[in-house]
Amino acid sequence: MKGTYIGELEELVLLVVGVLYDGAYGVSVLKEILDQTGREVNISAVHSVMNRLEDKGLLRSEMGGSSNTRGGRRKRIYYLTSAGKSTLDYIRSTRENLYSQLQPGTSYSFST
Amino acid sequence: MNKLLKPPKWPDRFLGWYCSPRVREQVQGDAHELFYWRLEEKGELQARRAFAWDVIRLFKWSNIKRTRTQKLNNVAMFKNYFKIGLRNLWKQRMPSTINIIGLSLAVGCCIVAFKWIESRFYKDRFHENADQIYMLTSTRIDEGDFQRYGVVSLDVSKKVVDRIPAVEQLVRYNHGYGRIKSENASFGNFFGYADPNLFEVFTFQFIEGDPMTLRDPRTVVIDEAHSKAYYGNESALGKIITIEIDGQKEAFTIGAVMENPPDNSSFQTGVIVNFEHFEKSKDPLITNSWAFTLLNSSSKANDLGMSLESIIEDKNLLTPKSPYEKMGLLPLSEVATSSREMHYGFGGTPPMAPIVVLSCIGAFMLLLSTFNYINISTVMAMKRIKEIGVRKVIGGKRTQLIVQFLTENLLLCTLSIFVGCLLASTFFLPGFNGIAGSNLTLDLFEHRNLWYFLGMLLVFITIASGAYPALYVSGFKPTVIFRGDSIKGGKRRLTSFLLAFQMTLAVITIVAGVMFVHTNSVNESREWGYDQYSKLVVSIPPTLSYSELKAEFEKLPNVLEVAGSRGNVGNAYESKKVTHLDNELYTHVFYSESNYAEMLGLELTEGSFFDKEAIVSNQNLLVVNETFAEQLGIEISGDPVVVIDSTNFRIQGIVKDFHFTSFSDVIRPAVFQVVSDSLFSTASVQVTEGTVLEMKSRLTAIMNELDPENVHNVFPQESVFDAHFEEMNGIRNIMIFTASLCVLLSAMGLFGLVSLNISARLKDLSIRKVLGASLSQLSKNVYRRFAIILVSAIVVGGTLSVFVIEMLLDSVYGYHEPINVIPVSLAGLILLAVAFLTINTQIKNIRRLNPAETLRNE
Repeated sequence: MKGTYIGELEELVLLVVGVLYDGAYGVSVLKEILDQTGREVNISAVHSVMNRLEDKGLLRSEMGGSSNTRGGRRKRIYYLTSAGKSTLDYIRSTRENLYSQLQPGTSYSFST
Repeated sequence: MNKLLKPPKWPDRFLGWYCSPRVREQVQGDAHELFYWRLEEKGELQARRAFAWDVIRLFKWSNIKRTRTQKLNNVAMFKNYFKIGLRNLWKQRMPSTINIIGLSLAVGCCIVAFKWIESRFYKDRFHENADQIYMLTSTRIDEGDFQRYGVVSLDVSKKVVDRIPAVEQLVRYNHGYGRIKSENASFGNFFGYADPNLFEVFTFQFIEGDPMTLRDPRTVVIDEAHSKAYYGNESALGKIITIEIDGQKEAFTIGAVMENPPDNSSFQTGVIVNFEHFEKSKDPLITNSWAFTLLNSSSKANDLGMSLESIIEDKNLLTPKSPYEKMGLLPLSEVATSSREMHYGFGGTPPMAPIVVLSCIGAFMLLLSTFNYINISTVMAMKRIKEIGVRKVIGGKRTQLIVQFLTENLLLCTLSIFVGCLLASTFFLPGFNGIAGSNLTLDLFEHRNLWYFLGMLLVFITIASGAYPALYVSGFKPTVIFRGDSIKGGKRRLTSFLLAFQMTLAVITIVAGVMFVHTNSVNESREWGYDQYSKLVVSIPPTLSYSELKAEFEKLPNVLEVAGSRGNVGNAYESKKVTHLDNELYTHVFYSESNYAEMLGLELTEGSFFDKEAIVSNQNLLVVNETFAEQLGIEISGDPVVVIDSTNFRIQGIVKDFHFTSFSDVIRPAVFQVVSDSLFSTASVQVTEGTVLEMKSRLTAIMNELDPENVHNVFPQESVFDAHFEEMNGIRNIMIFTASLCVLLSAMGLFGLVSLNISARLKDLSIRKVLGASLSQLSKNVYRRFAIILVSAIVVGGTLSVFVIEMLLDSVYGYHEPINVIPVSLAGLILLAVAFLTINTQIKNIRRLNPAETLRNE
């Protein structure tokens, strides 16, 4: 499952696309990340991440509606594919599995 | 929304311009949306800055690229094409081999022609500084016309290097003539005078020694050929050779040995001495030499106009009688090719005749093999017609089919070029070098032009030979293909035409070959018009006088007669203008002793030879040849007076025409004139028959005794045309080679066609065989089709060759027999025999054919 190994930003974008459900496009993803995490990502980075995820088959896209602020230009709306969803599940379960094995108190012993 | 609140104009335009249409909408829309959002959140200035920054960040390849390439797919397709191509080559081995052999023979010929022509045209570029070297030229007025000279006076060349800062170095060069010898061998008469920086400015390779030793005027630089001739394989460094400069023998120490100058160098002199020897005791104002300038890398030749002007002014003040009008700088690369356009040009202009002949041969071969290829591969492709039909039905485009065929073709052509290179380097080039006396080699790795040439050749033969079959075969409609096999027997007019054309060319070249062989053998046994046997020619060295020698020689047994002359018949070329009444012509003049003409065994037609005893009374008499008498319209009985150099002469006798120049020329007017002994440069000695060899060594021995300083040259009169015969045999060999190659190629073409023809009709033939047809009945059809082509080719080729080859013969030979029925019918017979044998090898297959095997599958 080569496609499941994805980067941190990719994971974030994938999650946000899933959260936004059918309103995920470049700007909305960028705003959502800013709102939810306070992290300011460049639009160019968002585009390339979404293209990459689409190439990996975790997202699919189609042209959506336009709005006034866009000067009448249409958006490309991204959707989570089932592969995308299962990747998120896989990542989450791995993380949780690993997290649950942490010894209580481990994270507090800073002294070596 | 007011105007101010729009996104910044220029970044927005830039974004619209670079974005691929595919993503423009979404990307630009996002950028705009972000802009308005930021406008509300952060204010105008921030938003405008952020927009510009976004535009820069979005400028990346995935947004810019216009097409979505499917590279992986393409590679796989071509891989497939190559695989299918290789399998096809292997499956149809015989025709493929014929194609490859034919093409590679042609490629080999083309490589030889290219190498030779290139070395004649593309000269002197191998010098490292070639771009910065220019030859000084001067323009003077000759008889009212501007005339460019390749030389300038020594004074001018000195001023050029002194006054023009852009001229870094200047090399003066001149040819010299004089006997060169070492202690025990004499070799060569030509040497060069050059400034020692010759070897800094020009790039020559050295085997041993330091070229800079040439700065010492007592040092000489020689090439490998001279070194070998003097000392064999020993090192020549430090040895002494003597060179005769202006009649003075001077000793030189060998300071360096260079490699033989390459064929494409205009400097072909193998012995170079310091320019001082030329310069000394000469007036620099009126003595000319070639001068090569090395400009510094930042200067251009055009910038020097003004400086040259001032030099011309000075020069014209000093020598007002022969003023320069202009001076120029000729790039080194053009020196050789423009040498014929000027007086005293440097290096040789490429001779046109051999270039035309060679490129014709190369082109002929290419044409022939391309035709073979077209014919055979069309028939080969017809066998795959079902495959084409299937591909078309499932949606293959015609262009795809064409690309596939051309790819397969490329494979085969690449293979042929490779084999052609092998052929050229192992057989053709060495063979050609033997004939033409060149030293061409196939230096694939360092010869860039050759790569260009081969690349062009590959593209050419791939397209020329592959285009027609690809277009033809891919043009069939699938319905036609699958309906029945009526197309198999389709008219192949083009095939027949091309085959006929090949055969015609073959006939012409065979006629040429036959005529050259015939004419050469006739010429070799042709009467020379005088008795050339039992005569030895001795060159008289300046240290000895003719009368001394004559006295010495006459003492010997077996010496019947001795006659002196200025150059012997066959080697002397002195021409004079003769006038008689209103007629004038140029005649060869043999200045000789009174008995020379008679001793040669010339045959008198009128009058008598000179009176041998009375020298004075012979002074104003001439013995002339028939052509002379005929062209001036004189007869002895009229006691005519002819004028040479404003002296009146009477005609003593008329002799029959004789060949004093080679058989390449027609006999021209010639006269014998008696002059005093002191002018003779050769002595001809008539010896007893059968003692020529013996007497040759005797005479050489005597000469060495009389003058031990020089190396002496004694040769039989009958050897004067040896070089000519050798050259003619070279030409003859080239013709025979061309003819055999032509025949071979057309035979291979025929072979391929016949075999394909038979294999296409295998079932037809099998059924007829089962029903009891005899071999002759079966083969009749095959024969008939090719016989018509063959016979018409022989008729057309025979007729054409009479005109074409006649012209060729006229340009090569002074005399030749007209082309009659014999060579033409000989050519026809040869071709018929070859064709018959070729077809028969395939008829054999019909005889062996087992109908059961071919029909078993039905």
